[in-house]
Amino acid sequence: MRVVRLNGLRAAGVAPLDAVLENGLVALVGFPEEAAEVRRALVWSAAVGDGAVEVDGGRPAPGVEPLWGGTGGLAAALDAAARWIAGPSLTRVEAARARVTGESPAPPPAPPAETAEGDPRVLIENALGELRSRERELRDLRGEWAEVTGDIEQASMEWLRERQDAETQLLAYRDRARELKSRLAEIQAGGPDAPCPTCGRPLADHLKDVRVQLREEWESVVQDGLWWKRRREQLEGKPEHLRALEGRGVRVSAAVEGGAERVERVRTRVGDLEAAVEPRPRSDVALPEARALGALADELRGAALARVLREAGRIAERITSGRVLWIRTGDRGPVAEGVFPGGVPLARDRAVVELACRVAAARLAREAGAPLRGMVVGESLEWMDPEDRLRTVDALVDAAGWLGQVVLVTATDLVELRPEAFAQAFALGSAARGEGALTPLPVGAAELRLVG
Amino acid sequence: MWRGWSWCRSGRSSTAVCSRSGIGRGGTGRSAGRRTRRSRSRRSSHRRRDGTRSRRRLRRGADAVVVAHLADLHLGFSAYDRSEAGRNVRELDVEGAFLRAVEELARIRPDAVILAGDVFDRPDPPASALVALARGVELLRERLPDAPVLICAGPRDTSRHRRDPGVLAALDTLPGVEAAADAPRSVRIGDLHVLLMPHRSTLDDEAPAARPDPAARWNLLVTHARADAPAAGSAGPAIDAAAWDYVALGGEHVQRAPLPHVRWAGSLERIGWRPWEEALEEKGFLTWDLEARRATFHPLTVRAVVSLAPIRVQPGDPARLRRRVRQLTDEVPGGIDGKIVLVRIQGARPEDLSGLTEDLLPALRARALHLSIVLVDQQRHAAPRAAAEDLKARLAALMQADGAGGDDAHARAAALLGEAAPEATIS
Repeated sequence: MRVVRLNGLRAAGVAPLDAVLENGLVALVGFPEEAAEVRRALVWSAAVGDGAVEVDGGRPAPGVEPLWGGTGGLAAALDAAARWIAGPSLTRVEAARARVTGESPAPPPAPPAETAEGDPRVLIENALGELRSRERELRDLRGEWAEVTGDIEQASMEWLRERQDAETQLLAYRDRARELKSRLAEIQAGGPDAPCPTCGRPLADHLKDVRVQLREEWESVVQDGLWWKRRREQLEGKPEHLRALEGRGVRVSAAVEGGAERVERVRTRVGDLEAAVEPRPRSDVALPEARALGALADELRGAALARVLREAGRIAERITSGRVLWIRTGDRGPVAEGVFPGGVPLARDRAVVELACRVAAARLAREAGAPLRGMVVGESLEWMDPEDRLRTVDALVDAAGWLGQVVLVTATDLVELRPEAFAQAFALGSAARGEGALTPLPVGAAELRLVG
Repeated sequence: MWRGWSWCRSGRSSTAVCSRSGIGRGGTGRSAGRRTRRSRSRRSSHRRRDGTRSRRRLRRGADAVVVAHLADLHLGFSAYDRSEAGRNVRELDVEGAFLRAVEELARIRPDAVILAGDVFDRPDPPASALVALARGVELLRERLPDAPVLICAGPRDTSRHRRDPGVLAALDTLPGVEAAADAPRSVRIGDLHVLLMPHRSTLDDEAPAARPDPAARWNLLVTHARADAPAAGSAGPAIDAAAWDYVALGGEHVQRAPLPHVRWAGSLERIGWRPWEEALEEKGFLTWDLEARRATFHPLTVRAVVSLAPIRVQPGDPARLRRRVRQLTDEVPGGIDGKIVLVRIQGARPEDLSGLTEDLLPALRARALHLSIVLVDQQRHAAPRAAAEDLKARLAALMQADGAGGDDAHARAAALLGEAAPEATIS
């Protein structure tokens, strides 16, 4: 399967998308949130088959969907690939085991049934719709929280600065008043022989004028000082608007926590629904034949998975230029092994592992006969090291070569940096900014036809 | 008024020709007019510095008229996260190769210098890359005042915003430099006509076709594109190769010639992400003698790239693998210090590499500029199929291990799995 056309695909924050997508490496470029929304909408719309994403050959087969769009996570993609690679052998072993135990075998990859009311896929889609809406709500709340905390910080700084200013002014006026008072006392004590505060000569006849002037100045300073004293007292407590902001901050914080909880609840529900559509774990079987068949099926799956990881290791080595050397199975999925600064793989290495595993799974499944002619990628690129990201473009160009189409929905600047690698690229316009939905970008290598 | 300049206009493109100097330039519509107006002052300064040699040599009857063809400089390219004096080592390498090329050009003394695209590695190059180019162009203008520098933008020099002409447009203001950043441009130098077709114009379906100037003695086309020999039938606008005396191309990092007079010069450095694929290719630039119709390659000394012969080991022997890697890297003539090295390993399992990661690999990587290890998997394309008998035998073994089947395990396994041949491998 590959995307042929977008027919008014809707994603949050983006105007409906309409485009004809070509083969090769195709990019949809936008801001991080827009790119994430479009990626999710693209994959789920194709899976549900609502017509907004036209895929050649109709809706994706269940055994292909995780490989194409990454639905169900990396584990689902690896499992799907393992099933394709182990192929008829695994089907035969599972069928034999089902005959022995009387259980129904895991369904082989087959075209999907028509969507029904109680179809888990519809339920998942609905739950995902709710999840998207809750996530948007949470994002808005977090945005408001960031805004409020910024306002609180600013108001708080202003208040402290003003209080400090009032304190400083008050101290200055107190010093000045003390100085004037001591001069007045000196003049009072010295009488006409007291020295002039300006020239130092005896004041004589000017005594009265100077005394009046100093007293007036002292009174003025005392008055101003009293004003600053009141001002400082006013600023002793937090101003009203700061208190109001803090109250709002508390309310928004509570709303953020509530929103996060709601998102988590919906996520759990989605996880449960996704788990429900996956094959049930095998019940413990007492029959030794069934156990042997089960062990054989596990061996087949394990061998297939090992092949995928070996291929993924090769791709990861190429992307990281040797930082990741191979990929092994860990408790929580594939793990990068190699030489890492600091000794342990980082988020950038995990991102490479994820993409490499998806590409390897697609490749080997296709070689094993999966009807796969494209894939949608993007999220892991956001976490990659910039240099790795550039090498990833080469890996994706390769993938588009043997696969047919790779749709990269991304917020990175790869189209700017490697324009010649892309067959087609569009900039996602923001609905909020009133931009057009998709703007074609000038990409691709120029070609000349030599004649004569 | 426009004394000394005459205009000819044909369709969407226009060409301005200076009747005094014989230098002309063309473009489309109003932008060409703006460029021509802007260029008057610098043309006059160019003429002042312009001796008679260039014009004399670029006229009919000269014994040898040589143009230098450089491409894919990729200034600003950086890789491997290794720095010297605060700058990425590979960025310095690329800059160094360009400046060595400039020195070589000053020695060869061509009549014109052509840069066929991807001068920079990205449309928003670091300032250091701009400085490097400006320094190189300045040196060329000093050492070869008669030789114009003709630059054509490649995809890496082209902004994805259509109204942004790109960084190269800044160089267009320099005397003796013609930098076509977005629209095709015809430049006439004596009897030589050069058509610069920048990347953006090659993607434009409505762009005018590239046509030689029938009045010129020599016609030269410069662009950054893929092109194949006539028989290969590639896509894109048609170029009548026979109508051009030389087609200078950029875009292939390895020197290549689909026709004797249609050539890619290759990049000045190994700037791909897998440089060892070009390990055996010499890096440098071309000169083309318009009279003799002969190309000469001028190699440059660039950073050494070493692709070692594959190390063959048995799986599950990390100690031997470690010895072999150490031995092979020690045997590299001149050592691996400062080189870009590829070590290929055949036969080992991925986990065998754990014997290297502890200390040997970090030590080797500290010496080399970059060292990559690749597992060459001979079984990569081997059919992942197992015979049906293998599957049955394995099931029988599993059953026996579990105490089931007894002596009849094989028969029972065969009965369980049926007769159709299973296909997947087990190990």
